[in-house]
Amino acid sequence: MSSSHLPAWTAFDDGQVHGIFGPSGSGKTTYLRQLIGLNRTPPCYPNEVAFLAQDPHLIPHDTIRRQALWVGDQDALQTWAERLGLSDDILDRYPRALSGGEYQRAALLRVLVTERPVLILDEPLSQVQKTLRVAILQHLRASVAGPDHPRRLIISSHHWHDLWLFADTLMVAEHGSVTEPKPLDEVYRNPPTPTAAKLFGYVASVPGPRNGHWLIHPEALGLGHHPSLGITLTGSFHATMVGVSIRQWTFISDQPRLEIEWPGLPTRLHREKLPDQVHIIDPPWVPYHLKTSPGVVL
Amino acid sequence: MIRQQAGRSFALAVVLLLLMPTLVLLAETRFGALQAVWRDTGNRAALATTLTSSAVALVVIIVLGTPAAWILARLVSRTIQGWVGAFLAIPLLMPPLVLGLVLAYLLGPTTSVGAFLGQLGITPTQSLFSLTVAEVYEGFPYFLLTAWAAFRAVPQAYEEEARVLGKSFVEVFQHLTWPMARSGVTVAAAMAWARITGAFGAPIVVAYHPTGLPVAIWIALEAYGLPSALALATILLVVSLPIPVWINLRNRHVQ
Repeated sequence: MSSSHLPAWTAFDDGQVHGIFGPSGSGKTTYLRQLIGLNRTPPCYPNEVAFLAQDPHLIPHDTIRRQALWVGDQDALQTWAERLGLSDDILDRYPRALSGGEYQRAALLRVLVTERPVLILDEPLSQVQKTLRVAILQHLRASVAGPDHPRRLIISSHHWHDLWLFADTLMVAEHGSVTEPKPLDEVYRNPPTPTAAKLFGYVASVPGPRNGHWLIHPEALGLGHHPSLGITLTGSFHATMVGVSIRQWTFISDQPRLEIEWPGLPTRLHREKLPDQVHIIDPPWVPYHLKTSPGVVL
Repeated sequence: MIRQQAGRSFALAVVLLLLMPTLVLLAETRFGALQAVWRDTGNRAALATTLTSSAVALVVIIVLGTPAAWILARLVSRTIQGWVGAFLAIPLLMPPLVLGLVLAYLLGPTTSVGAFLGQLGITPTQSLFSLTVAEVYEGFPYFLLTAWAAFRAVPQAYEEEARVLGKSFVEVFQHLTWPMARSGVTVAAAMAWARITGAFGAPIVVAYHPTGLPVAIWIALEAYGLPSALALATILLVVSLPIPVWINLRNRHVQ
């Protein structure tokens, strides 16, 4: 692991939300703990950093309100309790009387009331239902961009959608190494690893120049003529109905055969009207080959 | 259903079997015999001796043992904790009589320890001092092992998360670690108290005088026979056990 790449503090700009994305077990938590200094002996507890662990431990013998006031002040408690949707009733409960989502929000509250400039949240809202999760992330995003605390937010998640909507930069964790934070669309356009590519929705790759590969995204398969777009692979589609919502597409060309099951593609095409040219719109060129996921045969 | 019933009866029978000596003692003790042993000033002196030395021994054990238990649970590596745990079984299981003999030798006037204590004006053997030392040794392993387990049972994640949010070590200990370990440490003290007040093997060697209650019971048995020994034993039981039983009831450490 010592050879693995890990971004340093200097990689994170103020006023931004930095997302870290990766499947569970990819090393997100280990990296965040290392960044703070919790794995040193003796451990380091930086004054400017507030950290929310993935599996937080609220004090069992204190109400949420009391333990939040233990680490923060009344004003911050008032503000953030409202934004997190924590009512007075919930604040006066003990942790054991909370549901999974309430527990996570209470733990987040306890971290936010410290009003520390750097906030590190490890999978903070994984059990919170989507509408509320989006609302909370909006508040966090607004406070980072505004004059309030926190000034800088590092947030890990396996919900790609959350990071896509709310992060400014993205790191990708895999096998214990973490990529440098880069602007979101840049990472999306150049997935650093096959796992990241699959999680972003790329389904396959076809051989490209210089021993590289072009990544194929179902939404970026265009039928018909697109002169302004990237590469063109000649071939033809063969469509069969597999189910009501899933159609199987077979792409036949001088390239290897590609079959894609994708519910979102247009269906009103008849076999005889299919073009013999298929455009893969603006495909990312990557140095690795993307093994096909289930439903795709290359 | 029948098997469950049978199982429950079996467990209750075992519990009753264990409680039997206590029940017999309480049933067989005659009020007259109790009055007789109570009137004996020697017995009352023995009770005072036991209570005084036990109180001091318990304080010593708690004052030294609580920080030691915390340090073992928090600042010592898992491997070393394993070794310490294994080696602490030796003092825990050491026959009290053997302990008494070693203490008698160690505190005797021929050793430098005994001589040093003598210079300080402490009578090293056959004194309240040697009785207290013997009681400390008999009770300490029980306290240390139990209190250590109590601290170890507090997940370190609680402490770490409070430290990350800016709380000092002392604040975290007061507000978090201690409240969570308290009932276990109290049970440890209750166990130590029961061991201390009943300590016999080591005290009979190093502190025949001043005579504590357990030794006095043995003397009574030798001199006057079973009835007066049983009456004195009832007094020991009444003195030593209510506090631990009450603490166990309060903390419900079985549940």
